[in-house]
Amino acid sequence: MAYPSIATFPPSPSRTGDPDNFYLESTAFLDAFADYETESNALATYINAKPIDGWNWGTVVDVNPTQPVIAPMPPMPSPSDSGLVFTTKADNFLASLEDFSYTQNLVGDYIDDLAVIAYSATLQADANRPVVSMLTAHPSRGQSQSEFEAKSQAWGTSIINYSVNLDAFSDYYKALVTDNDDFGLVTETVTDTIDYNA
Amino acid sequence: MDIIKPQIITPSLLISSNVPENDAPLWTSTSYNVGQQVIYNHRLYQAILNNNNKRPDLYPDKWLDLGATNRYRMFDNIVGNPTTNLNTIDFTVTTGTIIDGIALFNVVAASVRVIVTDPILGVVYDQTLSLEDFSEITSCFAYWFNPVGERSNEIVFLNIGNYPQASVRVIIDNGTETASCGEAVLGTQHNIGVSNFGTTIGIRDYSRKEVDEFGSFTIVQRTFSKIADYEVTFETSSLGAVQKYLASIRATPVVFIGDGNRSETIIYGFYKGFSIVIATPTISDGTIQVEGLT
Repeated sequence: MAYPSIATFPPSPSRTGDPDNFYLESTAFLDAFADYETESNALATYINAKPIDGWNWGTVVDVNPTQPVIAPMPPMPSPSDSGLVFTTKADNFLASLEDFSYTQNLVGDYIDDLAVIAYSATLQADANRPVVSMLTAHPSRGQSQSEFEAKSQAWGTSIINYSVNLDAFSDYYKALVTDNDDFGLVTETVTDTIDYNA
Repeated sequence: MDIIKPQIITPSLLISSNVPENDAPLWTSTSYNVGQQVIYNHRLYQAILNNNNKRPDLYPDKWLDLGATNRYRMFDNIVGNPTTNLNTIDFTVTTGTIIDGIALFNVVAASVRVIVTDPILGVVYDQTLSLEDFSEITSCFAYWFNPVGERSNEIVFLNIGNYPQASVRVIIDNGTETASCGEAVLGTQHNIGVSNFGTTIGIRDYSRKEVDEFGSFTIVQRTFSKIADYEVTFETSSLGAVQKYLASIRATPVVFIGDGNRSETIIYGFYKGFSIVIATPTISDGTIQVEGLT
């Protein structure tokens, strides 16, 4: 099963850069939050359920695919910000969200490169494996001001957490597939005795 | 807390301007009839008598002074009487004095650019500031749903540098629309202390709101002026100089700047009074009451 993909966001709005089209762009962008929430959470669920733990001696098809770069997301505007500072931070955050949604697909693709077949070794749960967190409920146009504010802050924070978790998972995966214990492409006879723990 | 003491911009200091001075024909010693307008010494006059061949500035009983011409309205100390021009207002002044602070009031434009060119050093200052106003964007809700394209009417350029021989070019740009500037103040910037929270701001509204015997209101919207009581902290050692400076600008329109990034604290006007409590050997607190021009 391939990873659940994320639909491309419409162009991010910018109050500081493109005020003429702001209403049109901001409306489209805001309305895309609903699908984005559903798709991102589906991707997180998919990744979290992926059987790629460190001691799964499956067949690794692509040992070292190129790891996508997940750029750190800029901070959300804080409630104490105002004016140009608030506006610039919001513009930057939304622009980075547009970029991040694209990167999510790259990560999904990257992780799918590891085709795991159930092998004779026992799948071991790895307590250190990062978990991709879920997005909180998105803000939308029909909400009251107070509800919109609360959901916006929580929503933005959950996206940043999501990106950090996804980055951590991507790094974990990278370490896994380049680990010396990866026997996926071994062509020589292994004569070493290894403690398989189970 | 900065104060810009204006340099009076006379016609001899205004090196160039793209605003035409064609409001009316120049006055000549011919005869004018009621209603005809002329320009004399960069002011616009309207005849109030027929067969009028008198010089406008000498015969106020024969001519109505309509104020500065369009080109010079931005230097006439009346904020509500703007210079207008399609697209841009582009002027250059050379004052022979230090112009390190510029403030523009009642501006309708997208951006303002200031270029200072020293005859020896070349361009020493070139900055463009946008008048886009984001002051109401204080929350996510406001970011998404507040009106876009709000603009400020005031803009300030500070710390330009000390170049007394430089020419100062100001370009007020409003794209394809008419640019407008109520007052352009170019002068010497002086820091007198640190403005503090606790400063109060407001407006004095000159609109008329009258009610007749039936309770019906008649509302006439008129101009307003900004007012503020600045709470300022001074260095106690500088109080003598501060008092002397404030005394030197008494009854003089100057620009008071509490915070250059907060347009509500920028007022072109005069102070009505000030009081300072000499509180400690190092710092002292005071209040300056300012009333803006309309």
